[in-house]
Amino acid sequence: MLLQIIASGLLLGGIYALVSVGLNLIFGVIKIVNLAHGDFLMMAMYGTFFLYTVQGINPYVSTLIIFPAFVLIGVLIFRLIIKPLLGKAETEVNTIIATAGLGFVLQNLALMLWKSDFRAIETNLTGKSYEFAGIMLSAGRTWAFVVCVAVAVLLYYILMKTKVGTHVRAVSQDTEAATLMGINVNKIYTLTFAFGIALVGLAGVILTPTFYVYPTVGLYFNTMAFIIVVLGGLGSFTGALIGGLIIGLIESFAGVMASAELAQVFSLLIFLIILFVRPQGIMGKSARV
Amino acid sequence: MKRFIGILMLVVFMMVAVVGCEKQPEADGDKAAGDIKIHVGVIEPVTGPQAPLGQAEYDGIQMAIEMINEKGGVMGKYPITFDFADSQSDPAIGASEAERLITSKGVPVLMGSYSSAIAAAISEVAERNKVVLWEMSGAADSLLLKGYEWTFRNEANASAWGAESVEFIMGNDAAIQEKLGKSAKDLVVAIVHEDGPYGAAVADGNRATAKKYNMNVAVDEAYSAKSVDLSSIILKIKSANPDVLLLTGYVNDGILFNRQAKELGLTVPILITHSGGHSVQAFVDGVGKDADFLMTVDPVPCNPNTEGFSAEYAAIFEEFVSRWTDKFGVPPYHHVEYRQFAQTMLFFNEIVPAAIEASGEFTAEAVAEAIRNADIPAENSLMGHGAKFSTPDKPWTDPWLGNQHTGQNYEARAFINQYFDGTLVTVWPENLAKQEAVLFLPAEHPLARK
Repeated sequence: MLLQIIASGLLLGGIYALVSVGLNLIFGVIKIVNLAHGDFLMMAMYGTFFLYTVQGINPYVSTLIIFPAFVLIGVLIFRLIIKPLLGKAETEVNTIIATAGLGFVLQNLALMLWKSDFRAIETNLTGKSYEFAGIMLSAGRTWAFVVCVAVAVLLYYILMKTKVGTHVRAVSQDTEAATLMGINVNKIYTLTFAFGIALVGLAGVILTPTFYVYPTVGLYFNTMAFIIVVLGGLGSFTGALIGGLIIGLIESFAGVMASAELAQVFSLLIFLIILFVRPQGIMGKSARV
Repeated sequence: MKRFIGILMLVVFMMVAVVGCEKQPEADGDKAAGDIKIHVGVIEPVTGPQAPLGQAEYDGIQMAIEMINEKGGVMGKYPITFDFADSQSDPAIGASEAERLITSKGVPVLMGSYSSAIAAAISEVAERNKVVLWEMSGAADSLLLKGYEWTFRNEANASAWGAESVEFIMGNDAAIQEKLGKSAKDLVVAIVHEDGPYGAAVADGNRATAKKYNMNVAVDEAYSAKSVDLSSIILKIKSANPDVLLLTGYVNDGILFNRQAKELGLTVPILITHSGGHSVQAFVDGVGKDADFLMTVDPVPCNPNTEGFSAEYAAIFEEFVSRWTDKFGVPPYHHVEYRQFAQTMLFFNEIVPAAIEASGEFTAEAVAEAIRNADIPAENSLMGHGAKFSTPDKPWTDPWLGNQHTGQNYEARAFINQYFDGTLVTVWPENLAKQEAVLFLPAEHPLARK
């Protein structure tokens, strides 16, 4: 039972982490808070849903379509909405307002196009699980976890071992110095934003087979992603992973030991305690990449 | 010339005045014969998160009015007209729209209104303005515990649904004895519900009735319907290993519960759900074949045996099914649209004629009086039960929780419906049952205990 609770918690945490990574990447490098984050997740979920129901494309295959599409969308959004606001007065406030507005537009667009029905798909993994030493692992969530780990490893590699990664880290640490060193900050910003959006798109794809989609589904994940990001440390991508797993485990334990109603109370309580002890978050600042 | 025009205008004015005067007594004389205007206000959420079911409700109401009007209207001579307002899934907007319908459209009756929260907001407006609220779907008990005079609910309150599922199990003692080797009152019960007013009220009925029979309630858990993960609650149920799972939720969490229960290998011999999310098409679309053999407790008998109705109502039912199927491509066998249709029919076919016969007018006071004096036999209601309403002077005390309800139809009851091939069919009580209930989940169901 204990192992089962841990396993369920970790799998849930994996999903939370995957949803949060893109948000934190964007914050860490461009220093903007993307309030439309959850709504991009929603758009990706609808994309996956319709690719499956209309075209019959398996959600895991549709990653090959959604991911590049979201890179493009990310580039467009950055060019049209974010870039004009950067480097001017009140950038932080203006980008928050702009992305919040974008979120409303996306939600209402979805409501207009697809109505508020809950939509869910049945794939060959839905409702299936892998049994491992008496522990049941949800098939959909296990794959989500695998993808999450793969993304983490890949992201770590890119950031630490490649030239682009070095540039990204340089921009993240000191934009002006990076500019002086000849790094094209604008290019790095575009790239980071596009990649951050594509990551949340990937999360949407992975989530669709085990979850359901409706126009305001992003709101819940938005709140969760922000809590995780702040918990793990703003701007730290390892922090987002750790934060996600911690919240998943707390919810799982509190849900079984106390009650499901109280699970969120516990996770928010621990969140508050951690903030009190370490205001910068678990992996904040010192470990920022 | 000027003077000529002046005189001409004076003449015209006098002619108009004379004609006008002449018309007046004519109108007065007509009143008794046919000047009763049946005009009501309908409030449903057709935008916002509750829109899918709100629209289905509105469609059900419209179809009932359309069918009555085709036959000349109420009593065959008073056509029904209505003003519609969209509550946008928001109680505050529902209340302000109710206010608008009353003050600017002058409606004496409001009908609707989908959720208990919206119904509660509208009922306050109705009470203040002394206008009848004919509530057709807000099921939470709390709506009618305030002693209001102008709000009436024809269908069973939510705690009665919760009581019905336990009574149904107790009524199957012999079968349970044979299959599980113990009597119904020794069963281990798990009560799981969403934590809103509706889920809580149903669970109150479950709990109180289970306690009455001294059943062992091993799990009693609430969860948020917005939750993205129900695995902890499922693990808890799994470790308690119950014989009966009584589940109350909405569509999305119902789908999620089903998926995660399968993933975590939850099995249970008897599974009963309570209306809300489990008896609508969206749930079937979400879970597919897994819907089959699920029992739902609903305030209406879905796809009942029409022998339980009078010949007139059996014919109305058949016509409704064929019209709805023609119009929407699917039969109206899920509880939402049918429930509204049935109660709109009841209102205009039974209540309003009584009001007009007693007072000769269609006013809030006349309608309220007709509802208070109503004694409608079960065969004249497509809801499958009779109608007698409690009042502030004579409140009804429910036998489960001991609360006093005013404006509640105390003849109302809940029904057990069950999915066969994706369609809900009445299985309990016997007079409306079309098929025999399959009490234990059969082996082919993924949650069946083998």
